[in-house]
Amino acid sequence: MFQYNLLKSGTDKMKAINSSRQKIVENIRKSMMAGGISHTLPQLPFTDIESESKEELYERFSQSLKTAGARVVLLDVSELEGYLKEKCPGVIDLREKSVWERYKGMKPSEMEAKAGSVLVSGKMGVAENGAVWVDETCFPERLLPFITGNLILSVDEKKIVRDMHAAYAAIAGKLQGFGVFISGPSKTADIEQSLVYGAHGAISLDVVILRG
Amino acid sequence: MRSHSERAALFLKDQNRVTWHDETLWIVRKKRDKAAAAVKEWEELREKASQVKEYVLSDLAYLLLEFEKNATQNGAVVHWAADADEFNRIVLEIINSKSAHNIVKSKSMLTEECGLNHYLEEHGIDIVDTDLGERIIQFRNEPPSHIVLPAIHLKKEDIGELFHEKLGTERGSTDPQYLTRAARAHLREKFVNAQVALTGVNFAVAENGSVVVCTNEGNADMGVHSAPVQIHCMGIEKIIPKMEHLGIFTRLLARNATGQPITTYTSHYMTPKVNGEMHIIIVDNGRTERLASRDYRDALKCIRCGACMNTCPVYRRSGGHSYGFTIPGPIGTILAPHSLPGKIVYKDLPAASSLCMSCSNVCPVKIGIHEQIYKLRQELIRKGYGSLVKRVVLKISGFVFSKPHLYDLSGKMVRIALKKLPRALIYNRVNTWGLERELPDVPVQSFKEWYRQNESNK
Repeated sequence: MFQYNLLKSGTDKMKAINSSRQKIVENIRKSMMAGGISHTLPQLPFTDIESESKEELYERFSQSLKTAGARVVLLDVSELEGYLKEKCPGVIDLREKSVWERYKGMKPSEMEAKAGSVLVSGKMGVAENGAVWVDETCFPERLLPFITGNLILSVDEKKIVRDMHAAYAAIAGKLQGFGVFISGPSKTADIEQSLVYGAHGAISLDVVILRG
Repeated sequence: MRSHSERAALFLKDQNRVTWHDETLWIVRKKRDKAAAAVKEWEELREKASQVKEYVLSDLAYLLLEFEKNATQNGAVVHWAADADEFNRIVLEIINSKSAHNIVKSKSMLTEECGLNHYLEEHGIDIVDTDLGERIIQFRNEPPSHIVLPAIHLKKEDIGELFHEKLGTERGSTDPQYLTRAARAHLREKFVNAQVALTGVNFAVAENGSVVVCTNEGNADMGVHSAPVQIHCMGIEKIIPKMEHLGIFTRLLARNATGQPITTYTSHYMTPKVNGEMHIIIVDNGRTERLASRDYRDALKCIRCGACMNTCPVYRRSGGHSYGFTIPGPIGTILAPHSLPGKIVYKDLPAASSLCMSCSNVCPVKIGIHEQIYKLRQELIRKGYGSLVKRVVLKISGFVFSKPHLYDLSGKMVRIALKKLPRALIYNRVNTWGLERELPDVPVQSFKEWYRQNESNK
């Protein structure tokens, strides 16, 4: 692990850091006495939510993704290899752990040159917004899904959940290191509100939904 | 310092631009309405979001300490900054301890609030804003004019010219895709060489010490995962208790901000990368003072979606820079320090509102924004911060309104005067209501007279 250099520079600084911490916490406690009202947390999850069939979830998920600018394809598991060979030549397939060693610890500038197209196996899809959950167990370097020009995410059709409540129910307690919901290619509308894909992250996103 | 209305007058000089600004933000507001209407439980979501935030404010000390404990266990270093100075110092020390000179930053209104860029520049450190809109305004040496759309006050011609000068794009080229690609190439180079990456924080989860950052561009992730050192900057109010509460806020935030169902990237940073460092700086800078104020503490519930700006008739027609505070619009008006002890600075902002309540109606966490603006107005007038003209007019009106006969008489006189007086006496600099519009036609009688007459005719 790292050495925290600031602490070495003197105990005075340490004291200053601690005193701000103490001051803030004390001020918060005082403010509660001054005008704070105690509140309780609302009940979750939401009630009266209708259940959806697998087909409905798939339909909503792929529609959300298309709206977000992604290309969506539904494939049988057995068709995936053929699809990749034909449509994504040269893709870095991160489902293969043997590939990982090559990218571990790689410098960003080198990664930028090498990672033209990357396939990451997603853990879950969210129907309401087209977001795909990927975490540190899906790639050897956190930067890879962002620095690549074309990102391909695969999602098991059975792993599509209805909404963000269901998604966080599945993640809670299991988050480790780093995780991200990705919905669509990176985008910006900072120039006159004109939508442009490919701001800083991937320029294009393909989502492969796997059946069977 | 110029007042809001004086700065707004500057913005209003270019009528075409004002119309464009007004209409564009209204389109964003309409997108928000569409996205909200598509979620059946929208109002329930708002209510629960408000309740979670109220709970957070009522148990903030515990949640912050819990967050600190868990983040520390994850290998992050947690810092506490009482004010902007201390915050800036901590950032500088971390940068200096690494002898770093390539610094990238994704959007953080907190760093704007603390004047971090300026402070670092004074100490010889260049910091690169990586959000496209923020990079544009950084090149122009301007503050953002909107918290979600920082360069919304600019037209593509302005940006084309700017990029020609700064990035060597073709002169006269204004195509947004072409300009965005140029910025991408320029900032890629900054990312891959970054030594320290700063981000703001949308949510900090107490139960596991993780911080969540939402972007569409992917710039937070490009910076954080490229640089060996990552620094996340958060106000004390960004805490939420549990991961499950993210379900509420991630459903509300982007829908309410831009009408998207979610931002492209919703990133959860929990531990430093291998051989990396992760710092989290928790900042007070006036927040605990606000927390102690029963009237104004609710503003701390804000999740910075910007919807109150998009919907505000005053903001849309006066532009973000007219407010003169880091956060413009209705929420900025109540967040700007004007009534906190010893800090009467933005005393003109509460007047920059029509009190139409639209801000409160679109607020995803149900802050009574207009109520606070109204309260602030009264408070500032009471404290004697109204202009002399306003005070005299209010005094006279109060006197006239309290004497029914005097009120009837003055009404009669005005009705005659408006008809008989020469135009120059009515439409001049003293009557600000007549500057941009015609006064309504004078009625022949007052309502009271009309009522009496019709009542007796029955």
